[in-house]
Amino acid sequence: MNTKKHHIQITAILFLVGLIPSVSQAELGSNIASVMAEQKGFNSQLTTSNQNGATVYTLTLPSGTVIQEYASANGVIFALSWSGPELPNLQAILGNHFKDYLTGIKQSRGAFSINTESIAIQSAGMMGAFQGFALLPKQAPVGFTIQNLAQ
Amino acid sequence: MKLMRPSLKITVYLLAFILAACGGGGGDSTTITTAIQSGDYTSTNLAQNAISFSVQNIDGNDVNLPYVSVNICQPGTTKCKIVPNVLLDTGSIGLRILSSVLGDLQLSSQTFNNVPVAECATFLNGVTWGPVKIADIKMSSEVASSIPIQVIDDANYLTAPTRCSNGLPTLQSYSKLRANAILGVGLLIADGQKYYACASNLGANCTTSTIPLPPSSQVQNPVASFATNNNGIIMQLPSIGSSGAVSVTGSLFFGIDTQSNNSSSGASIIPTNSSGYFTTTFNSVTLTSFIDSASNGLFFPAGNQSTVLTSCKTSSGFYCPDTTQSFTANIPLQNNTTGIINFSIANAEALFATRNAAFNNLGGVLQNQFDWGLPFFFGKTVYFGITDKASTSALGPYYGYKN
Repeated sequence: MNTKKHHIQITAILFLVGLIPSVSQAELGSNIASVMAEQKGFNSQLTTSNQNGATVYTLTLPSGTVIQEYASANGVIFALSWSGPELPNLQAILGNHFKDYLTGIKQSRGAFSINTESIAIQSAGMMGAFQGFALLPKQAPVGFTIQNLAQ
Repeated sequence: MKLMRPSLKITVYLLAFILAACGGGGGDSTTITTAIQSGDYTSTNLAQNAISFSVQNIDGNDVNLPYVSVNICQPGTTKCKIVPNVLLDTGSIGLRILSSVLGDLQLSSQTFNNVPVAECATFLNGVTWGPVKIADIKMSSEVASSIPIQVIDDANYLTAPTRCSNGLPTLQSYSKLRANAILGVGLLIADGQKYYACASNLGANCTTSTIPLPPSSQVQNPVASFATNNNGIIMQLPSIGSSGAVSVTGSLFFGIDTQSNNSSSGASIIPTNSSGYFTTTFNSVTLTSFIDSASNGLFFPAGNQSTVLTSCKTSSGFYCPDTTQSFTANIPLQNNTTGIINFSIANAEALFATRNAAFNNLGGVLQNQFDWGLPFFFGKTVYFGITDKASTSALGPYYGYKN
């Protein structure tokens, strides 16, 4: 029994490792598993690291734009940041929270910064050097703030 | 996307829109002039390498946006059109122009492997979609000959494909652009956006994937393409009072240290990284920063001033302190020296109530960054050094300023 279970775990790990390099975009508020399932075939490079209690998935798109996705211990993507020459596909990475982005740009011609109890979202910068982030404060690890997001 | 009236809801127009300046230059007997409507702005030629620009309302709603006019011509000909109300944007690169203002100008397509090219350019608040065309862009005596520009709202490319818009609005009309064109004259030479090859010159027949269009074939910063005076621009605006001004006229010079009227002597030079960013220290916090003529305020985090720098009630992106607040920020200059910038933030809703269009003390909310928008420019000469091009003071990219 033990041996068999062990085999299953190894298989699962290999499966995940095999999928990770092709993950394109995680959706804010979704979990890692859905991210894996939702891969969009972007030709992106992926690395992971740990930071302030979060697992950080860093995707580098062909344009040079970097997306960082922050997963909590329970596997929920609670924050995203992006930086680079092109805006990433925000509809895909923000998921249900893309409507908050649209709200932001409706009240602005350009950069905007919204900070509510449920979401902090900002988009700024210049053509060729965009920067932005989205954070779900209620899903974030204790003490994790927008100051912890990569620029 | 509609600009809201400042007295109703104010928008943080931080924009990365870029505008181009162009020349009021006409002079060609065959120049066809677009009908000038009330409030339209056309630049005056101030010198062979200089034109005027204006900070004014062009539709009664915007504040702190600078406009020029550009003269766009069929390459190598005197068949030209003066286009007024062009946003002067140091936060983007290249000229993007509405098809409707080109009239009967015939512009050939940029091609890639002999196939016409279309572009998807991203701004923070939407995308522009349309063919890349070749035109001469003239401002006073300066000419950018046969450079790629983007034509938007072209009849053959009306609908931006989903892979371009990705749910964002398309900026394909005067009301959405709030201008006839955007003149991007920032620190870069090429715009680095997404390009597609389109069989039959039809938007519906464009490639699904982007094409590797070389930078020299992409939409270009017109200034970098001038024969001379091509290493940067200088924007000069007079000082204004604390309650603002209805409109303010400034000077836009082409070239830095190339003529007697564009010296950088005495300027404080701010080196940047390859993206045009530097750092500002404000409230003891170090913030990623840039200088942008098309950001209509100073946007930064209130930090430990948050009890004083409160957000406005209806214009929540802007600051509404009870009384005007004075601050200081530090920025690193070349030769390991430090620049000290003094600025003030007034109550934005009180400013908007004046119905003025130019303010040197309008501020708004941004986290982790300091965006030095148009309020920074009043009472200063501001320099933008183009990447890999040298002036007496520095090699681009860099910003500079002189009080």
